[in-house]
Amino acid sequence: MASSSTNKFVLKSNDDVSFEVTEAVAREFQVIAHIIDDDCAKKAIPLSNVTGEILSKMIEYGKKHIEEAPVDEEDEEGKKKLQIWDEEFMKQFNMEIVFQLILASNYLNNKGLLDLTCCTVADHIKDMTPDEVRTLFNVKNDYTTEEEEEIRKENSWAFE
Amino acid sequence: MERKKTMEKRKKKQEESDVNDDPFARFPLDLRIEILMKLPARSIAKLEFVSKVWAPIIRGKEFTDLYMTQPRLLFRVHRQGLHLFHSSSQENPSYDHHDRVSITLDPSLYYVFSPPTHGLICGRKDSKVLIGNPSTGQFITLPRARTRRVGIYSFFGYEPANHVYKVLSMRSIKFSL
Repeated sequence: MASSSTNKFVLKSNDDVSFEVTEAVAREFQVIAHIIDDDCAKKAIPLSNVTGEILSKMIEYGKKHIEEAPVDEEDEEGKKKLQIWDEEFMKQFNMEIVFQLILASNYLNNKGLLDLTCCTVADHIKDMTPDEVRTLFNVKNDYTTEEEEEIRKENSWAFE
Repeated sequence: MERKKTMEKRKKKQEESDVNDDPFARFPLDLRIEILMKLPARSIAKLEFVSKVWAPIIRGKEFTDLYMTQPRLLFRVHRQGLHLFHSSSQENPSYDHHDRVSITLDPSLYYVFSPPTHGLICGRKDSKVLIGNPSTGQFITLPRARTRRVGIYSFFGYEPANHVYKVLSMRSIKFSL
C-alpha cells in the first residue's frame, strides 16, 4: 500500500494536458487501474476520449474521495460529509459539462462519479414538462395530436 | 419578474441545446437507462411524451424489467366502494416521497379486484376488465368481451415462460332452483 501513495502517474487528455497523480487517485478509475496492473503505465497514459477540462474535474473528484474516504461501512458521518461535498461539487457545472462528465466517467469506469452525474441529470429533469425536456435535449416532438392524446390518457395520473 | 426569469432560463437552455445537438443521442443505451432508473415513475410517464426516440426506450423490455424489479411495497385499501392503492419504494419507504404513487379510483365504479399478479392488478365490473400497474399508476381498460350474456367471470394470470399476462373471461354456469 505504501507504494500507491508514492508512485506517480501522468494522465494525458486528448487536448494534450498532462496531470500528475498518485497511484491511489489513478486507481479510482478502473480503466487506468487495469493499465497499471498490466504494467503498461511506464510513461504518460493517454486518454483519447477526455478533454483536459473534464479530466481535471474528474481528478479533483477522485482525490477528494481518496482523502476523505469514510473509515468503514459504519462511518455515517464520513459518508454524509462526502455526500455534501459531492452535491456542492456538481453545482458548478452546466448540463453540457455534466453530460461530458457522464461519458467520461463511463469511459474511465468510475462508478461513484457515474452515479453522481446521472443523479444530477435525473434531478434536473424530474420536474420538467415534456416540452422543457425537448428543449434541453434538442429533440423534436414527432407525435401527432391524436397519438399524444392516446398516451396522455394512459398516463393521466402523471399530469394531475 | 418571475416570467422574465423563466424566459431567461429558457433562452439559456436554448443556447445550451444548440451546441448539444441531442446529447442524449450521444449516450449509449445503458447510460440512458442509468439516468432513467434514477427518476420517479411520475417523471418517466411524462418523458414518454418527449419523442418517438424516447418512448421505445421507456417501454422497452430492458428498461421496464430493470425498473419494475426494484422491490416495492403495495398497500391497498378498499372501503365502501373506494379503492386506494399506494405504492412506495421498499428500500426507503418513508424517505423517497417523490417516488410514491397513490391512486384513488372513482368510487362510482364498483370494481372487484383480484390479488396482485406479478406486479399488476386486475379489476372487473360485469364484463368490463381493468388492468393496472400500481407502481406506475397506469390503468388500462380492456376491450369488452363481445357477448350479450350476463354473469361473465374474468380471471387474471401471468405466464412466466413467455412473460405474458392473460385474462380469461367466461360465462358462469346458470343455476336454476
